[in-house]
Amino acid sequence: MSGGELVLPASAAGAAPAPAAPAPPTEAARITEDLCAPAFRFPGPAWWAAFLAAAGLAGLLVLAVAVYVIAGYGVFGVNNVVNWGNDIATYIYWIAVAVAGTIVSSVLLLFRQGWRTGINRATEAMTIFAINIAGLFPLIHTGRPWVDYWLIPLPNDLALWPQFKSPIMWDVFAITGYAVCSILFFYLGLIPDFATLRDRAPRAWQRRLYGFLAMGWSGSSADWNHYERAYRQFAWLATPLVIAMHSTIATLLAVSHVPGWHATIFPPYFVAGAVFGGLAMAFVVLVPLRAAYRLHRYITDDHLERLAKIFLAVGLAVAYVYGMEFFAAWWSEAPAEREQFWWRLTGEGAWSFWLMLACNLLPIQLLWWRRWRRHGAALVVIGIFVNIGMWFERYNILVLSLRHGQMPSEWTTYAFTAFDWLLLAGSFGLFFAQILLFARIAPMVSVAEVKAELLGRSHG
Amino acid sequence: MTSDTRFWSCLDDLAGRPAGSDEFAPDVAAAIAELRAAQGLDREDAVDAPTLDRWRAELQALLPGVNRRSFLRLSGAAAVLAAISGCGGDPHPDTLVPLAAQPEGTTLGEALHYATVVRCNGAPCPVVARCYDGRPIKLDGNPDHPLIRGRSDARVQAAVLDLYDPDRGGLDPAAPRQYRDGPRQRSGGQWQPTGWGELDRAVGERLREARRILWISGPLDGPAQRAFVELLQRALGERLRHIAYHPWAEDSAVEARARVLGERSAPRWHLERAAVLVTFASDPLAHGDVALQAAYGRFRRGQRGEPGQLIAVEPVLTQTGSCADVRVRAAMADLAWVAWAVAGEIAAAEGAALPPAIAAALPEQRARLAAALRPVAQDGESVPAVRYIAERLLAARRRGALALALASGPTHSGPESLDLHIAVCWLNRLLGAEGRAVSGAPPRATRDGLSAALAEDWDLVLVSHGANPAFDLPGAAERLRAVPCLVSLNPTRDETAALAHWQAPGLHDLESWGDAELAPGQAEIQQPVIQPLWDTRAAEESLASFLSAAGLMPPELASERAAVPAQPPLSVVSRKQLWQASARGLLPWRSFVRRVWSELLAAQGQGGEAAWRALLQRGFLAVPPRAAPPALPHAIAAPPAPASASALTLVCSGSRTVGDGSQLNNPWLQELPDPVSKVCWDGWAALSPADAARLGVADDEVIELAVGEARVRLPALVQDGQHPGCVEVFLGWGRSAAGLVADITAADGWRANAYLLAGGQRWGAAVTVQRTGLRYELARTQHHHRLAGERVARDDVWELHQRDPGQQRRQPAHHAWERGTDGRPGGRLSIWGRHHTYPGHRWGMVIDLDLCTGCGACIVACSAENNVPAVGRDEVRRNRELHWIRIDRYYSAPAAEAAARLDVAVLHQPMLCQQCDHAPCEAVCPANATMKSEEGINIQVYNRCIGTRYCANNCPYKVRRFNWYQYSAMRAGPQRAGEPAQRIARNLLGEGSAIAAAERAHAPLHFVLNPEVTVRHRGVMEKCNFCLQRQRAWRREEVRRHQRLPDGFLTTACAQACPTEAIVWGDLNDPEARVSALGEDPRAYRALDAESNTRPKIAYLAKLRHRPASAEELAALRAALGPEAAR
Amino acid sequence: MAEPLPPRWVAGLWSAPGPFLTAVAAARDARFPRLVAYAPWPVHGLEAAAGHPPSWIGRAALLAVVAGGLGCSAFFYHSSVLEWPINVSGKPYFAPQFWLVPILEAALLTGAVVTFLSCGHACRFLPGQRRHPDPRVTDDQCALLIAVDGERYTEESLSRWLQDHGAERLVYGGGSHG
Repeated sequence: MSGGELVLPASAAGAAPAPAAPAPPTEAARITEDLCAPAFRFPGPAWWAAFLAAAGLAGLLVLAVAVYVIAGYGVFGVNNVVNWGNDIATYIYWIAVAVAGTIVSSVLLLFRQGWRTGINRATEAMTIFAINIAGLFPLIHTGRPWVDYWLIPLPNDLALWPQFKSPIMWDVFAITGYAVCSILFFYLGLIPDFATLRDRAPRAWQRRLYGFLAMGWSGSSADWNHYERAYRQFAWLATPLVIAMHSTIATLLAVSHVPGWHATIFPPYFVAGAVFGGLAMAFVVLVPLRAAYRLHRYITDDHLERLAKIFLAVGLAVAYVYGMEFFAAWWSEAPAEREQFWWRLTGEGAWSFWLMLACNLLPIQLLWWRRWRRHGAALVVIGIFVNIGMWFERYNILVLSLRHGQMPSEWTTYAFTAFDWLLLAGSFGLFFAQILLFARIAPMVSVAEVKAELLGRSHG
Repeated sequence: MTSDTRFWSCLDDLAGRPAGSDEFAPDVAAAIAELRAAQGLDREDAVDAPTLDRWRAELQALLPGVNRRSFLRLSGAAAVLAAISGCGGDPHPDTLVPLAAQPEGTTLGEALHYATVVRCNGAPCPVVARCYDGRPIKLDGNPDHPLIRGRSDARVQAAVLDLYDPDRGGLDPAAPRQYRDGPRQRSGGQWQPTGWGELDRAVGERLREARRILWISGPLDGPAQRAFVELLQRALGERLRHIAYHPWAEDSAVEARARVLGERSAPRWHLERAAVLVTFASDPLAHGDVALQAAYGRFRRGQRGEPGQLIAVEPVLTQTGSCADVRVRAAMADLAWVAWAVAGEIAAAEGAALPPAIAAALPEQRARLAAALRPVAQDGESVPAVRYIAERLLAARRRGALALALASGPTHSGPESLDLHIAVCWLNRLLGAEGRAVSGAPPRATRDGLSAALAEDWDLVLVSHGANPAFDLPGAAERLRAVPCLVSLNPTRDETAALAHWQAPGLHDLESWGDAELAPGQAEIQQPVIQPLWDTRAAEESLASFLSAAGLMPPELASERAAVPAQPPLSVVSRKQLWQASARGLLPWRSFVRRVWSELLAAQGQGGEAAWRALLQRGFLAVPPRAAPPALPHAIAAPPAPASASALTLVCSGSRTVGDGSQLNNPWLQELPDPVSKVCWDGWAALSPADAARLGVADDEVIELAVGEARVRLPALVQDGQHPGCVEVFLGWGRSAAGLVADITAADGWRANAYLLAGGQRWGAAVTVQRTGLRYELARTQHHHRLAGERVARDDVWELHQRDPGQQRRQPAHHAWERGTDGRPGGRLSIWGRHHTYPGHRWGMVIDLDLCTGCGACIVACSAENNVPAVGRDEVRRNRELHWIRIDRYYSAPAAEAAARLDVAVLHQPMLCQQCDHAPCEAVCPANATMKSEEGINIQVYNRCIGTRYCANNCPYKVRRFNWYQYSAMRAGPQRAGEPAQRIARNLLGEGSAIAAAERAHAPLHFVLNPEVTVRHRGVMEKCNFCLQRQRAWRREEVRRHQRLPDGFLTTACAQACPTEAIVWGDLNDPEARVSALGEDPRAYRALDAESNTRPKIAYLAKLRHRPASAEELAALRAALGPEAAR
Repeated sequence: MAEPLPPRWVAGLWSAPGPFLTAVAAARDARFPRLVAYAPWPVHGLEAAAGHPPSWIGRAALLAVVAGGLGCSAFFYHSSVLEWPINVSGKPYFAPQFWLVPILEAALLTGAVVTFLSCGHACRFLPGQRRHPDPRVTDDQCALLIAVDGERYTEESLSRWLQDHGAERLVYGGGSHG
């Protein structure tokens, strides 16, 4: 048998009955056409402009990292007291962006929220591209990045293992687990779509590429049976993993002795903050994407409104945590904690605290009104504010806490250097460059799932 | 080292190896062979001096840089030379033995210790130099010396780095492959290298012809040095005038003692004999020699259980004032009257008399002072300051203890302080302290004497032994420029050398023979511990050569010189002999020193080789004390009444870190934070908070000070505790020709040399302050200055402590149940089961905050011991200092006075790794790079560290230090202001990637590295490990001896250096150890332990202020202990 | 478990999932010896219609999670307690309090990897086992493919059966046609 080829009737012997008349373009075909066409078009000038700008920024990140590897970590603004600054703040920021995608794709899947299909691909892509940036930061924040691999428990001639009591090792496990899980989950979701692209691709190299990526997906009922089980299974795994992962990031700070870090509320606080910040980034990505690819049919205002409701809810949860932090500091009667939080309100670093509060808590109040929840541009603006606010939240937690620790003689300052700006801007460049690139090679809305959702509804 | 260890010797154990064997390195031999072939000189005959000079230059060009291996060979040999010549076994030590061929009885890599002397701030300090393979890497006070007792200070600790200063003769950065050493001649404004022979002939000719010769030297107080001066004086007769000069010389104190006591002597303070000490704007802790600082420790420990009480009367916050129990702010111009007023009270109480002029003016002044001085609060009452001081002094007298008043230091060296010195001298006589707690010694140097002498015309001026009047004497530079022939014999090319016509570089103390007299009746011998690194020659040697060239050689020296072979035969030309033959030879001067000392020994009935060797081992000798010349007492005039206090006046204090300025090119001292202001790398102008508020000046603003015609700009610093009406500047900063490190300091042209301000008047000159609006960020290691509660540092009042010795006031209520009482680590509230125990040693430390003066000797000692590089001003500004131990300084004041910042109590707290049992850093390291040793030390494994820096974040004490750059390859960090881009460029192009080039340019600085301690790579964390290498040495020795060693066998570098012995280190498992006993002291507490449960192994003893308790404090005590306790 | 295609077959195509599901159920009831149903998107109820048993991947993942957690614990114990015990902060070598988090992470990671590999195995995402169905099939239409055995089920009978069950188009395949 010829390798299981399906043979077209036209090429077959004429013994067969006359084929049925060609069917009119179905709803499914229209969806396919809508979502897959961009992958086969040469990108326009707008895309190139955006991509080159983002890639240029990402180049600055490479420059900053290269200089630091050659010259020393001293090129950044950190010091003996504030040992983590921009690097780790930005790291937590990107981790949080990564969290939102998983929350949308897994948690909503577990709750059988069918509407997630319109947005889960885009948010999962956000997850993947944010997690690789986030994963980059711990690697490059070390003094000797060329030996970062010592954090992997590899058998070595010293018979020395990493130290699993360290929250950094927990982080290694968390980030690795989360990144691997997210990528597999994401890829699993992409396989039917890659098969679609494979079969649609006009050029041989594209067929080969997508054929490779689709890994021989056939769509048989037996495959779907396993596939859907595996997909739901991933949701079951990813949901605890994402919560555990971000809680681990939180424990990285919470198990330490630093006033301002040492708080039991941190794990839920960080998860809520991550969903909040991640959804903010989701608006920033989804709304322009919808406009650029004319996906209004798939990413509807209903989607935005539902996301905005969750967004508002977690925003309020974050506001609650802000209050609880201060309450806990006061209630603890720990003098260093009390000093830390009083200083956060009033000290010379207080501007970033108030900026965070203003960005995070004021704009979202608009979302009490339905009109703004469905207003794409408004959501983007709010999302940008919250992104700024959430970056400063991490900055405040890290830098302000470290600046004002238990040792009064070491209450000190922290300032960005030019390389810190490169690092920060470059990470955004890298993120958007990846998003833009991905939007060219795969559908930004899950073709198979959206068909199932739309056609499943219409055809019973 | 403690008295139990006697590692040092004069190396006579090495003398067993056969003399004359000529083993030198193949590369040197090859180079020489090549050289000889090139010169066509393979005949075995002598060559003349110019040829040798040329050869030497060529040889150096052939072997660029002293590479590590060849250096080790040479310097390894040098130690043998020093020792063997020291032993006197071989009068012509031609046997330069490379230690690569191991002599019997010595082990490569094992330290050898030599007793010698170094001079800092013009005062000698008997030290023991620790040498590895012929290079000294660490200096510590001589433990046997009765006045030093193994103590040292920051400048003594740093002196070893001066030895290796590349600016003395390393490769010239401007001209690669060119050395900066060797004699030079100035011709046409350009410096030309010349030969020693040529120099000798030229200067000798001048010497023969000159009618009036002035020889300016640093203090020369040793027996041989004095004999040498006499020798020269005899040879040159009336034509020569010798002046021993030091900018801090206390001419006015000498004058005061002459007027009051009738002897021209400089005061020597014996603080340890006093029970109450009153200082008048003086800073013996910062400017006194090591013996004085050590005496403070004994004074502070007190007699009969009561610690000495220190009262400081001063306008500026001195380091001594920062340690004071009671600090009385007073204007500088009032000090003499304060002293007289105190004397008046005492005279009244004891029925003694005051000088008539004083007695007449005193009532009026006393009334004025009563209004001017802030009274002392005593249990709700206000006692006038003068009466309080007088009462304290009298109380000491009544209980049979000594009370002492003290005025000294660079601020009081000028004539403007004469009145104060007279008053203090009179007061001491009244108190009975004169002759007991203060005595007289022949003055070591003069300052004003040189000013006067320079006004005359001189045909020839010789400057030697570090005297640098062009820098530190106003007007001297102009006068010296006019001298027809000026010859500098200083070890460095300083400001005076820059004006000279001839430079004949001298030797560092550690390279040369010499001696000193620290105190009358106590002389110290100085032996070289390394062969001269560069083409330099002892100043005495140069002077003798000049005499010889002039044909005036005294027979004593001539005979010594004749014993040295003039030129070596070519057949034995080696690099060593080239160097020797270029006539830097130490030999005549060495022989002279030995002869003088042999006479001293003979006078005590000792003689021969054994006595000489014993002397070299011991380092010092009791000698007959010299009497100070008598003078006629004068009538005492009343000090002038101070002018109205409307104008600001200038107060010049000596720098508390870099000292008189001679060590300004020393990065360790530059980076040492000032004990009071915590500023490093720059001088500054300190303003009182009141004046700063009036003028609108804030920290780091550049202000312009106008003193008469002179205008200088300095960054301002608002100094807590400074009296309104004065501006304090610091002597020692602002050199123009100290070297690369100091050039970094002086890069901004406006930084001032305070010596030259006000024509040398050290205080009282009217100064106007102009704001410039410019900002200059002073590098500070501390940004917050107030304590927050008692978690970290504790302060107690002696009086309260007496009533509450159990410190019940301080026990937090929750501790007992939280911890359990068994002292077991972990306590009751723990999720952990079994904790680790340390059955062997368990090292711990006790730091007595009451004894700590904040001087920073521990910081520099730690840097020297543990290879901690300086990181430079820019990195300090970024809070990246690398010191493993720092001294936190906190100001505190009652709430009502805190805002004014005028009256503050100061607390110094050394902060280093606390070696916590529950170390927060260890649990968070992912790479196992920090962990507990089996002796309880929190150790850092550098080669395992990847630099996540989590440990540093999690350290509540903030004592972990990160290598942000490759600091160890830089001389003083990536030194540049401005943008990081520039920083990067410099790092990439200058010091970072071109480490090899930088190393060559910085050679031989890395020879100061302790071979027992790793040099850290960039990107790794480091911190104090209680001198792990010494713990290892302890263990090795225990294994060798098969027994436990006694407490104090070894100690950490910081504890060893501490001048007041505030730091005690030892085995907590040894119940006999001092550290165990002190840990049980009721004053003991552990920093942040109550909050973080870190279980530190360092216990601090709370500072005990010997001051009256305030009403609030007594009320609090009553509340805590019940009413009867406060009785 | 996907199977290799039969030598000869007939496929019927549906563009709507409803009739397709009915057809699949009917085909199952008709007990054709071999049939495969294809759907371009996850059609709800297809597994039931095709009669697939519940996937075993869930159980595999559960096992993997347990094994991952236990393996990680064992590894921690081995490395931190047995092989090179290091005194960290004076705490005991055996420190499950510290290890809970990474053990959980490792367990979930193992579960995720095993899920993916199981899915790949079950769906034959394996090199050398490519099958390339008709593009139109994978695009927009559902397909029911029935094997031709040449005796009882011929092309004609199967075509008729499929057309009777609403197939909009028919496709023939197999060696005899090529």
